[in-house]
Amino acid sequence: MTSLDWIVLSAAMVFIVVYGVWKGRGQRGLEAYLLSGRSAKWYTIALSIMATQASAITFLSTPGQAYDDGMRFVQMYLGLPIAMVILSITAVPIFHRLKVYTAYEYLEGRFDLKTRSAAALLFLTQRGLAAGLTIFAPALILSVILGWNLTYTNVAVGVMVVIYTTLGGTKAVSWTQFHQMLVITLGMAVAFVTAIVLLPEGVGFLDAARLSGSLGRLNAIDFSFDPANRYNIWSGVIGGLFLALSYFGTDQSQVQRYLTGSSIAQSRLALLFNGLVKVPMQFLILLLGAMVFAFYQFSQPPVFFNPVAVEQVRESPYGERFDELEEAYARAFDHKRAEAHDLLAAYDRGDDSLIAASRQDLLDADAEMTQIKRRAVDLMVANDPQVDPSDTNFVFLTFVIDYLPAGLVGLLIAAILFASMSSTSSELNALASTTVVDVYKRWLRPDAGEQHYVVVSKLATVFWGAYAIWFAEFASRLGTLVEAVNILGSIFYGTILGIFLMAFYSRRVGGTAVFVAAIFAELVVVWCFLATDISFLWYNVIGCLLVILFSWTIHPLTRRRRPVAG
Amino acid sequence: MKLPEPTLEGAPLDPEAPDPADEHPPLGSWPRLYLLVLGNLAVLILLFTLFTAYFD
Repeated sequence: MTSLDWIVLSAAMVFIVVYGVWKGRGQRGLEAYLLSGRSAKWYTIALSIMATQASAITFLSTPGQAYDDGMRFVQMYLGLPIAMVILSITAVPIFHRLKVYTAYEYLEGRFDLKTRSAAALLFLTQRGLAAGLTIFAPALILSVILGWNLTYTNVAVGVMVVIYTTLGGTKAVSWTQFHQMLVITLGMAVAFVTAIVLLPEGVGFLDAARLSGSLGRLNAIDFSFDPANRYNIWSGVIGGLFLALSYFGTDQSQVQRYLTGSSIAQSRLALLFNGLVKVPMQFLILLLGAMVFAFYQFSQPPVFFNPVAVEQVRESPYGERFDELEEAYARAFDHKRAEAHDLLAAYDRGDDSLIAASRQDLLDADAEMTQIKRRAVDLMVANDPQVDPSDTNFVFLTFVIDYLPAGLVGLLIAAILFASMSSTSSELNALASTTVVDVYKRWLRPDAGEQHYVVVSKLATVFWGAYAIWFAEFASRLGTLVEAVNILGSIFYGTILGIFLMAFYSRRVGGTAVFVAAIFAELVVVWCFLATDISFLWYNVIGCLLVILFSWTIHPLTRRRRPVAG
Repeated sequence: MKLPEPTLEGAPLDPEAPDPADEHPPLGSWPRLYLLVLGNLAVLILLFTLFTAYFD
């Protein structure tokens, strides 16, 4: 990074912390601190919702996903717009009219205290760990690519978020997210344009798309139904719908965003706006990855995008064989580049048979490079079995660092850190709200004054921030347990969604039936996780449907008998 | 904040809260806006399908 990049990055960080503290100043009372006085407009809420969902990993991994596997990942989001409509009809008016602070508070009103407490504790457990990973994951990638110290990066990002989230509360979170999202969008747009501008002379966007498409990277929709295939339109619409319903309808880090709306209409508009733009946004981020892929058809990519793993194998007894593979990779790349030019020339001539023949030659050349890369990865794994054989997360940042001009690299790093900070701030904010409203106020001090709760909320934010930073530091030593923490969310989401859907739609079933049903449903989901090969995405569907089924089954057994008249 | 007691009919709603039907969205009615979102999704799926068929 150049001095200019550091200036841009530092200015962005200082601005967001100062702006957050300034924007959140002078708030009085718990409603002002936790829900921004329920005064937010739809556009602030909408960008806040999007910034909360889109963590740094979204912007680092998604282009790499397209580079590696194509654009079919976009199908994961096809259920989201349907979920936005359903939540606008059900959850938004109910939460607003009851004037709740947290989603779990509603569960006590609808069912009972034990259901509320169980849902709140599940949220605190799962989201508390996830907040640490939200900080850790991008810090790890930045430390690998830029050589930054991992601990310092974790602490610096965490402390900045804690400062403005604690001092400014939800208002600071929402408004900083508004600006963070603008910077992120600008950064991604700049990267998109740069990827196209850097293509060789005479190669334009359409040519790049043809190349990416010929090599299977523009596979946005797949109608085939295959349970083993994680990304097709069916798993995307059905599994994605349940996932989005769970996340936006029951996770306090999202519910709190639209609880800040000044009216039902404002909150609904925010969710519906998200439903309109989220899928195109993901499509464009994936298309950026496809353009980076096209760019690397003309500029040689590294054999493996994780430089630390490459350095490790170079210095090992496998180093000599790795160097040979790198040379073979360079030769294969020269051959493939020539084939890519031939294919584009065939398109210019409009000769279909020549296009088909050139495309096959390009595919053969690509297969040769893939084969060499696979052998290089095998060497890395043989040298260190702990090394991650996937380099997807490092593709986009490598492109940014190596090819973007000075100043823009700083902007992109700022955008990635902003994405991390925006998600973390929502998480800390929601964890503090749930801790105070569902635990402290409900169980420990129900009758304290408003300012007392505000002070406790600030302390809770600092506590969860410290916990997240500690876990982020600890995560580097967890290895595969990091994946287990991510799975933890999928295991509980479906069951919690089932509880909320029973609350929204099945008015006759009581709290005990739903609570017992949730326990049984969760046991089945855990069994699926331990004893079957079912993909995580389907846990949301299974857990949710089982809660509904078991609740209706148990309900007659728990119904109170009415006294006989007369 | 103390919530109203739950009933078998579900949580009683705040009688002072404005009825959501009174709040009109920009396009005139909520069902029309919901259809816009779902229609947009249908169009996107169609466009993505054409995109895939053309390039992939």
